[in-house]
Amino acid sequence: MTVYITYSRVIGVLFLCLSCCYLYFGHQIPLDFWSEGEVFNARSMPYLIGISGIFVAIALILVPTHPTTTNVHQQWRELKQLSWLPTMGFALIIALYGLSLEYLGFIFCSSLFLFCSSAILGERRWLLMVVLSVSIVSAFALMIGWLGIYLAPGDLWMGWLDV
Amino acid sequence: MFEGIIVGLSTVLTIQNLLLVFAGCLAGTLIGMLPGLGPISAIALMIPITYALDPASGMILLAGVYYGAIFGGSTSSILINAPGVAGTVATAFDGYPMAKQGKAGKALTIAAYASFAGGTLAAVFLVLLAPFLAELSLGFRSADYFMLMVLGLSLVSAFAAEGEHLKALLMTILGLMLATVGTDLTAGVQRFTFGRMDLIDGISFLLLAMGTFALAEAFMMVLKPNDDAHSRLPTTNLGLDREEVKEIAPVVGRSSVLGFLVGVLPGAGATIASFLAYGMERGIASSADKAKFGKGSLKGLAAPESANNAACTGSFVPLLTLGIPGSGTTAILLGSLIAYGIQPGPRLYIDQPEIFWSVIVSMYFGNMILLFLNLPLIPYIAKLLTIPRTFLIPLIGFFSLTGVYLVSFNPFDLQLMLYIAVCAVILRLLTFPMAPVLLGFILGGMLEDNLRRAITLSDGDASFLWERPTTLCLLILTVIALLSPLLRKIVKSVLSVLNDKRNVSRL
Repeated sequence: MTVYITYSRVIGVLFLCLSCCYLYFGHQIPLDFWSEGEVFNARSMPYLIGISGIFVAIALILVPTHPTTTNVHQQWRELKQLSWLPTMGFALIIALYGLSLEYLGFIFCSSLFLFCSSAILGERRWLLMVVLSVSIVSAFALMIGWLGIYLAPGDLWMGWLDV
Repeated sequence: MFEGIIVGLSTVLTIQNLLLVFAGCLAGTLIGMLPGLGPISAIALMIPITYALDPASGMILLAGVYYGAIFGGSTSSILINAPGVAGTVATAFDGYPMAKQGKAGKALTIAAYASFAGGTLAAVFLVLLAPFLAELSLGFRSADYFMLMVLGLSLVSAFAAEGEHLKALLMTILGLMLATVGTDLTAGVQRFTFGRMDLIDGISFLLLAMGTFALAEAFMMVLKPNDDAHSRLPTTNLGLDREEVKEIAPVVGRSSVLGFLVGVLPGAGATIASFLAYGMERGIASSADKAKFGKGSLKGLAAPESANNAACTGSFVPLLTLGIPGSGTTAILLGSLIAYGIQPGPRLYIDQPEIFWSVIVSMYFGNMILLFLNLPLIPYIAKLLTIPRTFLIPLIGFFSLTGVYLVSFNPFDLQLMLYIAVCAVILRLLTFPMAPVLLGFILGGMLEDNLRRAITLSDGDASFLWERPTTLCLLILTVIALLSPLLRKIVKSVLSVLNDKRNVSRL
């Protein structure tokens, strides 16, 4: 019998490691004197989940996989054909959005996010991009304000105001 | 009872109260469409307005907002795969594939009709069965709840493709693991926070739902630029033909009954109801129909939609008859009733029948108004999908990120959401289903609470699993649900062997 290395099995191995780590950190959960003697304490559920995770991961590694998932070469070819570069660019913009939101402020940062994301996805109508980004974010911010939710203007602008 | 209905009708059928139902449904729908703002936020935002009204009118407005928000949540689930509330997660399973096939209008129409039917049928059950069911729901113990949650988790097989049940099970366990992150409220200790303050409150449902569904979907659209081209098709065909109505009518009936009964149980609510209804319909479907689930099945859309609306109505049973809020939303409704100086409970429909019956009667009118309000809007709502992808994808990203940020105002959540979305994309590319992660996450906390209670009451003895008939029945159902893929395989192989033998004997 041929044993294939499939992506499912690789995920199974990774999940086995994750479950072991989960059990280890579950065992590190601090318990007070009284909790240690209880039939069900803060560690009990993590133990149950961790052990179940180990069993299922081992089963995923050992059980013969479905014929459609065994062709690792075909899967690899399919994965290579995907548009990875714009996706990574989009992910980078989201990461930068998260990092700069409080500094640049909601309206400016969100408008910039919409503009840059559209540009990365291939949009080149610059004026339309600027108008849409700013108007959508401003309308949204107005509505949020109307609902009584406060959005801070951003550290950058607050600094300027202080000066 | 008839006297009560007449009292309710006379209260609701005033121009002011009918306008309030309309305004509530409209506001709820619009707020519910925004990721991050579900029925709880919608009702909370409306409470200050109700102070200017009398109690009956105030409750009528809030009930309208509740239904509207649930329907609004379904709209974002169907159109952009962004379930803003847990109750509409199951709607996305078949609603979004329908939208991708250019049937967004039809999907929204089915959602509107199924919600209407579910809500209306449940309102009838509420009138007829409220006092009886309230007593019954109190008999549900923690062991029963625990087994109900396990049964809900065992339905993961409903989300797995043929032969890939282990992947679904693995994803459920991942969801359960994520649910344990944060502070254990019973012991007051931190679990899996690694000393980070940002994780003390755990991971929010919205963050996980937006990460695994909406943001991951935006990434998938960027990764496969040609894959979503068909969703730009015109959405002209909104109506349902006779065959389609025949197909979904029994599903709506069954799911409404199930949804209502689950909604009556305090703590269960619309989420479990929608998952159970989806799993039940897939379980009883023929193998041809079963293959359509997850790929745009009408039954797969109608079942959770009618169940979640029926459950919303069902959750009013413990609230109005016992004064026990069955969900977060009904807890806010309870708070607003108490603010009026009204104590819901067994004496509510004796002492203040106009409030009890006007809320129930307003449910009929609320559902009707919701239907008439939304049907004409569907072609315009569905047009959202015709926005060019260079603008649509950033917008999905923006609304998902903002929805999460507006709840916590913590930029760390945006980073965490990005990591979760990246992991979800990788797992989705390797055909791991994402729905079980959410199911495990939603049920994880309730599962632990009820297991803790049951096991403490039985002093560590596992006999609580089979001592009570309700628990035993649920246990048997769970075992059947877990073993059904294996049993199906065995039955198939036995049948094929028998067929082969028959063919040989014929030759």
